[in-house]
Amino acid sequence: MRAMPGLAARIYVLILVALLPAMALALYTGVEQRRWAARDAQTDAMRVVDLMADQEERLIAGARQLLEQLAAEPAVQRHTDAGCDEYLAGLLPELPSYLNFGVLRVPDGFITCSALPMDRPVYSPDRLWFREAVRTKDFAVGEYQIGRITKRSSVNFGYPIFGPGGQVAAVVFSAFDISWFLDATRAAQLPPGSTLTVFDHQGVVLARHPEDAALVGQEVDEAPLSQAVVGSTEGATAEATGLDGVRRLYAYRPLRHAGGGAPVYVAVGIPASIAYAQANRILVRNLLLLALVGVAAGVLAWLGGHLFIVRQVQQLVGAARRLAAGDLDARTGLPHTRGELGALAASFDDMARAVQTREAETRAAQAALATLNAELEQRVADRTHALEEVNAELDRFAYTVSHDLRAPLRAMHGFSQALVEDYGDRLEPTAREYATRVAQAAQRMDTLIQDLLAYSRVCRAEVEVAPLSLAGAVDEARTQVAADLAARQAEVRIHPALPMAVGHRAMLVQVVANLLTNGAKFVAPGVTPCLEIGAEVRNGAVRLWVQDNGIGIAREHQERIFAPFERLHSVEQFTGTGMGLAIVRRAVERMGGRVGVESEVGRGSRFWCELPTGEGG
Amino acid sequence: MIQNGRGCILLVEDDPNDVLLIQRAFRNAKIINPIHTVGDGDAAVAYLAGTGDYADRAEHPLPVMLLLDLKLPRRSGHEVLAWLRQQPGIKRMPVVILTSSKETLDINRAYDLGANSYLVKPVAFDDLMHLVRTLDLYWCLYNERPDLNHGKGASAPPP
Repeated sequence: MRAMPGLAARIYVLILVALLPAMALALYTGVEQRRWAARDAQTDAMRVVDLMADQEERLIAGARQLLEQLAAEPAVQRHTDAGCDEYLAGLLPELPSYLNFGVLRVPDGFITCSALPMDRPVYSPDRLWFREAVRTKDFAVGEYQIGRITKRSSVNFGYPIFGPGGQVAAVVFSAFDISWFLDATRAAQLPPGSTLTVFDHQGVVLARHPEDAALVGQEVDEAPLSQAVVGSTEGATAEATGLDGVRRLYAYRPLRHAGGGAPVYVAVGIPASIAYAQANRILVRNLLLLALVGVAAGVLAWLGGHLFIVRQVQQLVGAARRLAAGDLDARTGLPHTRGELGALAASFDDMARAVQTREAETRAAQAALATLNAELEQRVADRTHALEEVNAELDRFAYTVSHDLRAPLRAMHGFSQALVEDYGDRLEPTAREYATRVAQAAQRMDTLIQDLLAYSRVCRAEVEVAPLSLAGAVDEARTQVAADLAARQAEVRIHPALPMAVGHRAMLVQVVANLLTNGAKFVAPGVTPCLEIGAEVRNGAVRLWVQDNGIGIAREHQERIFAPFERLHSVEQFTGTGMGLAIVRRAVERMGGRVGVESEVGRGSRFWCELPTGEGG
Repeated sequence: MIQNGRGCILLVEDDPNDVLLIQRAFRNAKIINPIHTVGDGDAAVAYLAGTGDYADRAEHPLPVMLLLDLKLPRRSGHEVLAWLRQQPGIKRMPVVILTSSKETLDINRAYDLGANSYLVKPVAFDDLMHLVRTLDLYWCLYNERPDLNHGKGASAPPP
C-alpha cells in the first residue's frame, strides 16, 4: 500500500495542473469583467456628466429667456420700491429651481430689490455676472457660488436693465439652485451609493449629491480626486477614494458654460463595490464552479484512478509481493486488456507462470536427481556391501591360509627333520635325502604362503599416508634384512641426507627390504653384491632408487618382473617365489606412487619408486 | 641352568602335530619344566579356574606361563586371554601367544587384550627349538614371576 498514496497524489497533481489554465482563464475573465464593469460604470458616470452639461445649456437658455422677460417687467424696471420685491417673491413658488431673484443698482452693486427678504443691506459689485452684464450690456452667467443671501450653492445669471438714456441702470439676476440641478441627475438612475460632486476651480465643493452639508463649502483640494479633477480640460475617468472614504469609479469633466469665467467641475462617482459587484460575483461564481469541477474531478480521479489504476497497481504489487514471498500461484487477477496496465499484468502473469513452470521443472529435476542419487547411493552401498563381504571372505580365506594351510607344512617339515635327526643312522643316504627334500619343499611352500599373505595384506590393508623420513625407513629395512644381506656378504652404501616423502612407513620398509634382498640375490656367481641406495626430488616427486651390480634384466622382461609369481630363472639358479617385486609394485601404488627399473643385461639394475614429496600438491 | 623346576607351562594347542613338535622341541632343548597340554579354549579356562576335570591342583598346578594358540575349538585364544585378564590373581599370569597367524589384526587384538608376547610358529624345527629355548630362558628363568594368589580372595568378584 505504500506506493499508492504517491500514485493518487500524482493523479491529483495532474488534475490540478489540468485545471490551472481554466483557473487562469477564470481569473483573467474576472479581471477583464472588472475592467468592463469599470468602463461601464465610468460610461454611466460620463453619461450623467454629459447630461448635466446638456442641462446646463438648457438652463442657461431658460435663464436668459426668464431674465429678458423680468427686465422688461415694469415692476422690475422700477426696482427701488416694494412692488419689485413683491413681484419677485411671487415668482419664487412658481420657479422652484431658482433660489432668488433680485436687482442690483449700478454701479455700486447695492441690492435694491430681492425676492428673499434681506436683514441688512448687501452689496455685490464683485460678482462676475454683474460686472459682465454692465460691461457687455447683455446677459451674463456668473460663477457657481455660495449665495450671500441664500447661503446656498447657486449659479447666478445677470441681465442689464437699461435706463432712459440707454445706459445700464441696474442688473436683474436670478440664482439657480445647483442642488436642484443635481436632483435632476436622479433621473440618470445611478446605483445607490453613487455621488455627484461639483467643485469650483479652487477645489471647493460647491454641491454634492446626496446632500452633505458638512462637505459643502469645504476645500478638499488635498483629496486625490479633486487634484485630478480640478485643472482637467476634458472628460476623464479615474478610480479613487472619495471624500467620504469610499472607493469609487469616477467620471469627471469641466462644465464650461457659454458665460465664460472659471470652470466648475463635475465628478460622478459610482462605488467600486457596486460597479464590480457583477464582475466579482461572476468571478466568485466561476472560481466556485472551478473549485467544484476540481473537487468533482478529484473525486472522479480518485474513483477512476482507484478503479482503473490504483487497484490494478495494488493487485500487481500484491501479486509481486506474494510471488517474491514464494507463492508461485500468485497472479494479478487482472484482465489482460490492451492498456499499459493490462499489458503489464499480462507480462507479470506470463512471468509468474514461467517462474512457476521453471520452479516445477527444477523441483522435478531435483526430485529425479534425488531419486537417481538415492539409487546410486543404494547401488554404491550394495556394491560396497558386496565388496565388504568379498573382503571379509578374503580375510577369512587369508586367516585360514595363514593358520590351517601352514600347520601341515610345519608337521611335514618338523617330522621329516625329526626322522633324519632321530633315525638318520638307520636310514640309507637316499632315504635321508628324500626326507631332507620333503623338509625343503615344505619350507618353500611356507615361504610361498607367507609371500602370498604379504601380497594380500598389501592389497587389502588400509593405507594412510603421512610425511616420513626416507632415511629412517631405509635404515629399518636394512636392519630387517641384515641377516640375509650378511649371508650374501652384500655391501650396502646409503647416500646421506635422503629427503622426506609421503607414504605408509611399514609398507615403505617392506618395499625397501624387498628391493634390497632382490638386488643382493640376482648376482652372477662369484660376484659380491654391491648395493647403493639414493634418492632425488624431481617433478614434485621423490624418486628412491636401489642400484645393484647384478645380472641385469633384458628390456623385454622389465615390465613382467613386477607381476605376481613371475620368475625369469629356475629355482635352482635363484631361490624365491616371484612375489617380491609384485609386493613392491602394489605397495608403492597403494601409497600413490609408481615403480620402474632401468637395466641392461650384465650391467646391473636400478629399481626405483616414486612417492609424493608432500609439498605443493 | 634351569632353576625353576617346579613351575609348569600350560600349552593350549589343538593340533596334535604341533603338540608333538613343541614337546619335542622342549625335550631337545633340554627344558625340564613340565608341560601340561589342553586341546581347546574351554578346557584351558577350566584348567586355569581349577574346575571340572582340573579341580585337583596337585595334579594340575597353576602354570607359571601360558603358551596360547589363537585358533582353537570352542573358545578362541583371544577369548581365553580376555577371560583370564578378568580373573583375580591369575590375571597377572604371563601369556605368550604362539600361533601361525601373522595377520596384523590378530597381533594387535592379542596385545590389546593383554598378551605379554606374540610369536609365530616357525616351519623349520630348528627354529622352533631355538624359539622355545629362548622362551623358557626369558619367561621362566630371567623373568620375575608375579604372585598369582595374592588378592585372589579379597578382590574376587561375587560368583
